[in-house]
Amino acid sequence: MQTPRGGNTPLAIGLLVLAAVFAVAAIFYLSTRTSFLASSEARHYKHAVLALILCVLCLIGANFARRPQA
Amino acid sequence: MSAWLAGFIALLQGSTELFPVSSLGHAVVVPDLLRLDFRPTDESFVPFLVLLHLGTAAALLLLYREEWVRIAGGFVRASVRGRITDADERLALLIVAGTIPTGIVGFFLESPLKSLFANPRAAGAFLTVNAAILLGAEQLRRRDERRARVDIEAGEDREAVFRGVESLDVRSALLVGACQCLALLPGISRAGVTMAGGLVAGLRHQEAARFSFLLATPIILAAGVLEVPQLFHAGVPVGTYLGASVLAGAVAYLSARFLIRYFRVGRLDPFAAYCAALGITALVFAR
Repeated sequence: MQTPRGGNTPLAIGLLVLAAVFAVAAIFYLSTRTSFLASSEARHYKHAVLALILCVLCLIGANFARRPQA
Repeated sequence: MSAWLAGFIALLQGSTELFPVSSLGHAVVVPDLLRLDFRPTDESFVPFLVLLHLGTAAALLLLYREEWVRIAGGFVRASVRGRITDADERLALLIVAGTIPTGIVGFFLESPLKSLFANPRAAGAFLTVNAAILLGAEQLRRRDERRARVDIEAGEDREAVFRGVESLDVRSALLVGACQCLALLPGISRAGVTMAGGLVAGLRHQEAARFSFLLATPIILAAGVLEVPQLFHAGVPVGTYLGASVLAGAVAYLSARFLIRYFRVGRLDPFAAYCAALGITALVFAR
């Protein structure tokens, strides 16, 4: 589906949702002792950093998706 | 760890990190073959490895400092604008695309993979697999050269028909990045598989090496920076480790300069032969 400006709106929305998921994951790993997708029960700050980076990349991807490309 | 051993490991790490021969494979195999008294999987070794990686990353940043300034600027501009308008912005996007697969896979699987396979015989087997990957990539390249009818005997530049990094598409960059995931196995070289992936994607040898070094920088730097808190544990001989880090960085810098020059005309075959020889030696003699 194309917007009037030629961007890909569904992809942009999907990436925004993913960005929100990664933001929640970052907060979860920073604030909770967990072994979810990790080697041991602890606060996994590296997982939080990665989730934050993925969140930013998704936002950038969404910005690309909503604009028409040459 | 003695200063001599630290210096030796730094030399080993710095010289093998950027050559397509697997630094992690060497860190597992060589101490065992030389009967040295340390294991790269020990917790106490992590801070040392962190500093060696930071040294290598610093060498790569120094080597490509002007390019990295342009790439960083291009990344910010393209991210804000949501469009790619020049080569620097394109290269920045390709590096991001190529880094994502390893970042994700490495993050969740690095520890289990290391503990599963970080024994000398497994590393020897993977070094032999690395040799096969390098040889396979060169065989595919030779086929492409025949198809392109490159007449080397007539003095034609065999690399001229292939392309530079900036002309890669995002899918190819993702493919090269996916290849990089294999390097989580001790014995499979990050530089080797990314150069092999670059050759398969149609890059010139020198450009495949350049893309490999550019891709390696954020991964090595991130791996190092994320482990920095390990350095503040009690009992870490910071002076010795810092000296080793500088040594590893200096050797990595010289290695990168040599490789860039070598790949103007050179191929991956000699590195494949070396990996096969070391891998078979490890399979036969490792404890």
